[in-house]
Amino acid sequence: MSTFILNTRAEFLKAKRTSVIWITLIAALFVPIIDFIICLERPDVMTHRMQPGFWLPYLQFVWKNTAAIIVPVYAILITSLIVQIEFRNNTWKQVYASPRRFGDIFFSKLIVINTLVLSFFILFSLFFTLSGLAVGAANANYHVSDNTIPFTEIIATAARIYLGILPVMAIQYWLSLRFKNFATPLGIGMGLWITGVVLLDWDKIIYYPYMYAPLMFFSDFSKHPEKLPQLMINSSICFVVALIFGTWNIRNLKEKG
Amino acid sequence: MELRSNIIETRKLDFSFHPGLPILKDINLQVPAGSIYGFLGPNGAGKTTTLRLLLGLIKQEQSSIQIFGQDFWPNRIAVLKRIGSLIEQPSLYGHLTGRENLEVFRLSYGCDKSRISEVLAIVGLQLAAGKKAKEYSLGMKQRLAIAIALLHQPDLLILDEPTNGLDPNGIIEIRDLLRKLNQEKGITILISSHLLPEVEKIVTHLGIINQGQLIFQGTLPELQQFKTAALTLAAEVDDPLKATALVEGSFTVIPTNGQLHISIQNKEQVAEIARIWEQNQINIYQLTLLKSDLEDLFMQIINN
Repeated sequence: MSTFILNTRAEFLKAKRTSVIWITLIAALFVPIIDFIICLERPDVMTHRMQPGFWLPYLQFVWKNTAAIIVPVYAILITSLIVQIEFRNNTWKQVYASPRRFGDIFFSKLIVINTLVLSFFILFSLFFTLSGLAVGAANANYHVSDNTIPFTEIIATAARIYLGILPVMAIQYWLSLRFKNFATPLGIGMGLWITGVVLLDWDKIIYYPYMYAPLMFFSDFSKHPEKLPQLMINSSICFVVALIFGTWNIRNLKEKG
Repeated sequence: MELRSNIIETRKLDFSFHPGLPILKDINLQVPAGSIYGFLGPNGAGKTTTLRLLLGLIKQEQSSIQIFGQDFWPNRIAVLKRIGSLIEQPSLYGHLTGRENLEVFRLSYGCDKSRISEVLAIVGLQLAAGKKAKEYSLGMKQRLAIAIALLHQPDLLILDEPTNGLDPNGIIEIRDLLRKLNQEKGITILISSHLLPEVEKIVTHLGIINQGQLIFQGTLPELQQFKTAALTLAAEVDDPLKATALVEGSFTVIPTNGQLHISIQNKEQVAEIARIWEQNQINIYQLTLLKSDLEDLFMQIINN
């Protein structure tokens, strides 16, 4: 276990000075800033839209584009970028020639990706809260300070969407390990995501992993309460299956590095 | 240095990526402990594939590879803990400094932090340790890659063409470093190259591979004997039967297309054969030293 922790530390060190930290920050900051500007520029429309109570309508407003576009694209991009560190530097062979178990190599890198994705959700929730407070400070007509910040709802929404993106992360991780060319897993991931957007109204969309994150946000769980556990189960199963298959497949590759 | 048992041993090692297209055939590699073993062969001969098999970078669990007296695959982690390697170009994270590159692998090998400064001193990169690896020259990259290979104080170094692309000074530096590591630290070194002059000054043993087959294995003097054994003299004479009878006691003679093909050890034997025939009234029309495929191979490897 201690060697796994040391190897995971080594994987974190590899990400130092790469673009992944900046991409995570920018992805988490982008929509809260844009929506803050919209609220400031169009108070005539937005003060009505942000009623009642400001925070819950604002949470819906900010998460809408994020859940549909930013989260899937970010997860696809960040996974490819982390794996590309090895391909770009031609270092896979040195990694596999070091005394590390194949499972250790697979999961220590996955932890780095997962930490980044999780950081995105934490940062996004933080920036959402700050942008809401900034809207209130800039324009009193939003009555932000009259309402308490719904931390439970903020955390629950982020947690649901995070669970929804885990299968995409696992599938993209496997694809990124299989293809040396950066564009291939990225292209496949984007293609599967766009296909999902096209198929969003399909009655079997609940079996399409690339749409779990948007569905976790857009589904009306008050009208269809059975959908939430179903989505959570599907997402968890898909995540675990993708990881087991990925580990097995990478372990059995004839040529490594 | 006293040479002990073999540190690497492969038995009838075969490998192919596609059925019917073998890359390696019956490789019986024997690297003595404490040696510097030069693994020579032209480009595409199978050197890198062999080294990748030895390091487990190519998965062939049923292959008979023994390192440190242990079967490789059932003991992969234990064996790799004692091996330092450099396969093809140096594997370095360009965006990290030299010291950070060493830190990445130090964590994986679980060795002491003080080893970083020690290996930097061994390869002479203390002053450049804070520079990003992508800003290093090729020679510095090779030295940093060797430093990574030395981090965990391995008993065996496997180096695939470590002098590739280096200028003559760089080659000498690496060569001196390897000799020092072998003599002072007792590290066994398996080093591949496609040119004998690059490694002949430091190797104690040699293996030569061509088209996936190990065609020679032994010491440098043994190589010299083996090389000359590959010479063939083609002779055209007026009386082939009598000419054969005169020399076949000392040489192997094979009649081929009206000529006699005679296996000889060295060029002096051409004169000896000519003298015997002349003294016995055999008219010699033509004497040609044939270049066998084997000799062409030696010319490629031995001549820079």
